[in-house]
Amino acid sequence: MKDMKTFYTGLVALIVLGLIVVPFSVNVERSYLIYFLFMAFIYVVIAQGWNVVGGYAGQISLGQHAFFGLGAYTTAMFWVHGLLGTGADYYFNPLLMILSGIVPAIVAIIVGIPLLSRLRGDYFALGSLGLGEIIRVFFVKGGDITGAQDGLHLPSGGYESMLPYYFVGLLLAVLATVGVYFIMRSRIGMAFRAINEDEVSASSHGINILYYKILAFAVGAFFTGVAGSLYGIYIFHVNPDSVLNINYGLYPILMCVLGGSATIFGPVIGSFFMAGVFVIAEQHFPMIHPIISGALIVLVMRFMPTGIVGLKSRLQRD
Amino acid sequence: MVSTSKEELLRLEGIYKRFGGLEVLQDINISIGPEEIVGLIGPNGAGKTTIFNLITSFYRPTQGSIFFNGKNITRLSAHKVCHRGIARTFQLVRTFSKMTVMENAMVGAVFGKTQIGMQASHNAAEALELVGLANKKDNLVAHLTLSDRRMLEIAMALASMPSLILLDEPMAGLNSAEIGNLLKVIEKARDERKLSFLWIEHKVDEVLDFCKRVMVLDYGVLIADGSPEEIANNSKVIEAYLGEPSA
Ligand SMILES: Nc1ncnc2c1ncn2[C@@H]1O[C@H](COP(=O)(O)OP(=O)(O)OP(=O)(O)O)[C@@H](O)[C@H]1O
Ligand SMILES: [Mg+2]
Repeated sequence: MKDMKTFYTGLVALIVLGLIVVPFSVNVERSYLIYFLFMAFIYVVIAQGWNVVGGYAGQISLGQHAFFGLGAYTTAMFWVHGLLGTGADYYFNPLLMILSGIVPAIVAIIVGIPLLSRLRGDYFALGSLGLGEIIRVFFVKGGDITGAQDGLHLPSGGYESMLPYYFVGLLLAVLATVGVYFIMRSRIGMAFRAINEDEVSASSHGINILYYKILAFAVGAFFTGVAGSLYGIYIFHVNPDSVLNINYGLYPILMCVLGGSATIFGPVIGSFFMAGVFVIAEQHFPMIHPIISGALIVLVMRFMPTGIVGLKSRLQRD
Repeated sequence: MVSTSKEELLRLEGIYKRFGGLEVLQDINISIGPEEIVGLIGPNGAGKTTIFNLITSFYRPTQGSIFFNGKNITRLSAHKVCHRGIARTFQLVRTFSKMTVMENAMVGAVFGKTQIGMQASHNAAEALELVGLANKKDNLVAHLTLSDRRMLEIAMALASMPSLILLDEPMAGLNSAEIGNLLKVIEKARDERKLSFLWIEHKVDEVLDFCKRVMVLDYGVLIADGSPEEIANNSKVIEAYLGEPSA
C-alpha cells in the first residue's frame, strides 16, 4: 500500500515536471502540442468539477456548461465594464478568476436548493440541463451589459505569448486534481460517497443530504467557472455560442466516465484522451465531430462502465 | 410543553399513520426508559417498521407526537434525529458496500454526533471492537457475509454514541451460531454503554427469552405491552398469532 502510494506520487510529480519542461523544448507560439495540452488542462478542470458532483456525490448534472459560460461571462463583464476599478489589470487577474468561480458557485447554491431537495435524481438532471438554456437566454437578452448574441469582446492588446495560458492551465489542472484528492479524504468526501451509495442510510447516520448535495454542486460549479474564465481570456470573444455550448456540459461527463469517475486520476486520463480524439476528429471529419462524441459516450457506458482506470482492476479479476 | 418524567427516554403519543386510504397505525402510545431493552413483535405488515420510520423522521405521522429526552422531535429532519441520539439498523441491511468496514464505522462516528479527528476514529474502532469486526476493518463491505454486515450496521449505530438504538429484525437470515453471537453483542452494548434498545423481531421465542419487556403490534394496534410471561399468556396475543393462518 505504502509503496504504491510513493510510486504514484513519484509518477505524478514526474509527469507534471515533464509538462513544465515541454514549452521550453518546442516553439510555443506555433506548436499544436501546446494548444492541445492547454485545452486538455481546461478539460481536466471541468472534468474534476463534474467528478465531484456527478462522480463522487452521484448527482448527475447535465448543466455544467452553464457554469463554464457564467465563469467566462463574469470575467468578460468585469473586464469590459471595468468593475474592478479603472487602474486594475484584468489580464490573468487572479482575483477576477476566483470571482469567476464564485459567481457560478452562488448560482449553483440558488438553483440547487429547489432542484436537489427533490428525492429523485432525474429532476436534478433535467433541471440542470434547463439551467444552461435559462442562462443562455439571460445573456442573449442582456443587451449592452452582456453584448447580446454577439457577446463581449475583450481587449486583446495584452496578448504576447501562449506561455502564460499554458502555465495557468497546468496550475489549475493540478490544483483541481489536488483539491479533489483532499476533499475526498475529508469528512465532506465521506458524506459525498455515502450519499451516492444510499441516501436513506446516509441521512439515518446524521448526514444532512441536501447540504452536501448543494455543496458538491457548488464546488463543481466553482471549478468549472474558473476554467471558463481562463477560456474566456484565451478566446477574447465571449458569446453564447462559444462558452455556453452544451458540449461543455457533455465533455466532462464523457471524460469522467471514460477515464473512470469517482477516481482521482480517471478524469485526468479521460481529458487527455478526449482532447486527443477531438484533435483527430476536427482534422479528419469536422462535420461529424459531435456525433462521434455522442456515440463514444454510449459505447463507453456500455463496454467500460468503470472507465480506463477501472479496466486495470477488471483485467486483474478476469 | 408536555411534562415528562426524568425516567423517560422516548415517548410516542397518540400516533396515527395513514398511507392514502390505508390506516397502518392507530393511536400508538409507547414509552421507553433508559437502559431498557424492549422487544416489538407482531405479524407481517403489522406496522412495526413504520413505527421506526416515524421515530427516525423518514415518515411524518398523520397525527400524534414523538418526544425524545422530553423534547418534541416529530418534525425534525432525519439527520437531526440521529444527532439527538437515536440510531437505527434496517430490515434489509443498508451498509455502504463500496466502503471498507472502518469507513462505514467512521460515517457513524463522524456524522452521528459531529465528532472530529481522533475522537471519531477512536469511537469507530471501539464500536468495531465491540461487535467483533476489528480484525476485518480494512475489508471491503461488498465482500462481507450477511451476518458481518448486520454486525457492522450495529457498530455504525454504536459509533454515533446514541442513547437509543432501533433494531429492525437483526436476526433475519442468520444461523443459530450467528444469532447467539448477536445476542452477546447486544447484551455487551447495553452493559458497556448503558443504552436502550427497541427491537423488532420475528423470532418470538428469542425475544421472549431475552427482553424483560415486550410489546405486540397487530394490524396497526398495540395489543399488549408487558413482561414475557404476561405476553405469552395474553389471549389477544395468542389469537393474533394463532389466528393468523386461518384469516
Ligand atoms: N411508504 C408506504 N406506502 C404505502 N404503504 C406502506 C408504506 N410503508 C408501509 N406501508 C404499508 O404499511 C403496512 C405496514 O408495513 P410495515 O413495513 O410497517 O410492516 P412490518 O410490521 O414491518 O412488517 P414485516 O414484519 O413484514 O417487516 C403494510 O401494509 C405496508 O404495505
Ligand atoms: Mg418490517
